[in-house]
Amino acid sequence: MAGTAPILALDGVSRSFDDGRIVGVDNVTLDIGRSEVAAVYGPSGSGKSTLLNLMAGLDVPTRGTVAYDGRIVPSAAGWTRLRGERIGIVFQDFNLLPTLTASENIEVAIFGRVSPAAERRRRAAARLAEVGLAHCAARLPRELSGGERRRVGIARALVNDPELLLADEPTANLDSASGAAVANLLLRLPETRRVSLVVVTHDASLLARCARRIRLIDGRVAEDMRTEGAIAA
Amino acid sequence: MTWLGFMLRNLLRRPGRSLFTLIGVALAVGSFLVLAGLSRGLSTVAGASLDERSAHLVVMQRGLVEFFSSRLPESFEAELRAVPGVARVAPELGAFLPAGEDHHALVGGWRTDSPFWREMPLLRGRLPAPGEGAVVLGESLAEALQADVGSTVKIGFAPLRVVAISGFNSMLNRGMALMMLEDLQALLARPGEVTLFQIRLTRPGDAAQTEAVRKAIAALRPGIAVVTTDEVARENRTLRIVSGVSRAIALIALAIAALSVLNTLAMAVEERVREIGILAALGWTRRQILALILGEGLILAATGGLGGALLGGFGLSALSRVIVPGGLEASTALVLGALGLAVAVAIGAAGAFYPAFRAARLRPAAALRHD
Ligand SMILES: Nc1ncnc2c1ncn2[C@@H]1O[C@H](COP(=O)(O)OP(=O)(O)O)[C@@H](O)[C@H]1O
Ligand SMILES: [Mg+2]
Repeated sequence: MAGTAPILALDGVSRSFDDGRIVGVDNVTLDIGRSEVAAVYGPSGSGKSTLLNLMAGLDVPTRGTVAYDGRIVPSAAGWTRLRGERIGIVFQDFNLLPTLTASENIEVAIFGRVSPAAERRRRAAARLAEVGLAHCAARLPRELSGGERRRVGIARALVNDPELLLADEPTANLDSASGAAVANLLLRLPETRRVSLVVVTHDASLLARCARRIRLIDGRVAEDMRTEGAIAA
Repeated sequence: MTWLGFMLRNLLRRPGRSLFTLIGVALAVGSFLVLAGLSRGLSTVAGASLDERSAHLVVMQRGLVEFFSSRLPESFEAELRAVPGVARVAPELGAFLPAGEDHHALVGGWRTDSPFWREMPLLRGRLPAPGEGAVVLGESLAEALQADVGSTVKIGFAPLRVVAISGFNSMLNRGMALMMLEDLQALLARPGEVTLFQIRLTRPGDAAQTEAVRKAIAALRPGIAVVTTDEVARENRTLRIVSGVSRAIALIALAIAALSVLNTLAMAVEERVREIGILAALGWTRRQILALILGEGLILAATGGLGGALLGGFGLSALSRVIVPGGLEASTALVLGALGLAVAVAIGAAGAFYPAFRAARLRPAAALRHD
């Protein structure tokens, strides 16, 4: 199925809240291609997170359609399966379970899909090594720095070997060194893992390294720019 | 990490709350078992003890509130003997009396010529003689009273000599004291009176004959109940009331336990809305989320249920020692344990279902914004 269809195709997508009083996303039409690296930026409240939620099926558009790999996803259960098997999400607020270790936080993402437990643990260990945190497997989130938590979040998003990775402000609230490390890690992935990457950011240095930059203002696409050869590893 | 590990980790986050819920379930299941066991025990023991004396029908007064208040004249025996199909008639006077310092025992009085004396399994000692003021103790009653052949025990506050220990099997008979009928009549100041007549039929398997005998006897006098050994307990209104009340209390205890599981899990789900949103965002299906919360409820309930089965077992054996010496039979204990676990699992499922359902229905985006 990895054919010509874009991995994501949004067609006239809107999402409003409070019976239309609050605009989240307003009439957005765009495609995300395979192995593409797209950055979404814009002022706070411009609808970036809402857009990302719609791309992951975490939220449902009030108007318009979202097609995944050429097909409109018919149900919440369909999106759940996609998130379990083909999409990875790096959340803005880490969203690690506080009572679970780094390894267990990753294992939880493949519960019910990978068994036995030993195999889940093995995969978690491999992803932790991939993000340079092999030594943190047994630590609880509160024992990790912000940058380490972010990287555990990335390892978790990768545990199902996704073809699409969605990341919401992955370098926010990190010091510049950790931010750069996370940016390097993420921008390597389209090449090493052949994933499409959509990253919401207002980090200028991360933005500058993305080949495509989508600017949102008041929920609308104000600018959609492609720069050839912008990726710097 | 395994599923079980994840569920346990979640339950142990609030160890106090989980523990209290577990104790609640254990108490509910325990009291359910005690009460259910008690009412079941009370009704089956009576039948079993009569069966052991190979009685087929029992004649007593009808509509009794309390079994021992049945009063029939001993002289009624001759009329019963004359009924065709009746092979033998054995009168018995029964009373529930204080025994020793702090026990109660069922005391039976049989006439010298009663076939029961001959058929009674005797562990040691000899049969009592009329007017002797002697008593035969069931094995477990003897144990409870710490008495043996040769000791003197107080039955109904009268000192009596123990002349034998009987070796019955059924719980009631094992806890019973037996005396000569005239001695017990004297002790109770009820000369010439008995509580019931136990009847043996000439053809016990013959339903038509049984019916005919029942009708014939019932026609002899008004206010007579002729019942099979299984029906004895049902004829007794006290037993029925005790059973009914026990059952109602047991059901209330169970309902409260189910509500406490529900409450605990509903609180846990409320606290964990965001985490459940994370799981959903990671691709957990509704069914998986449902299974997680249900599983947590079942772990709580099953653990509580096991505790409850133990509590119930202790409670029942203690109770049966106090009320009717004899203790629980092993098979009953097993049945009650299994029943306790089954009941607990039902409680867990009932209590967990609503919170689990709510958790599974959360919209991921909304749940993730929750704090
Ligand atoms: N669940 C919601 N209910 C109500 N308003 C919401 C909800 N989610 C987002 N919004 C509103 O939609 C707008 C866009 O929000 P968001 O997508 O989070 O912006 P950004 O991520 O660009 O800062 C904001 O005005 C926000 O308050
Ligand atoms: Mg945002």
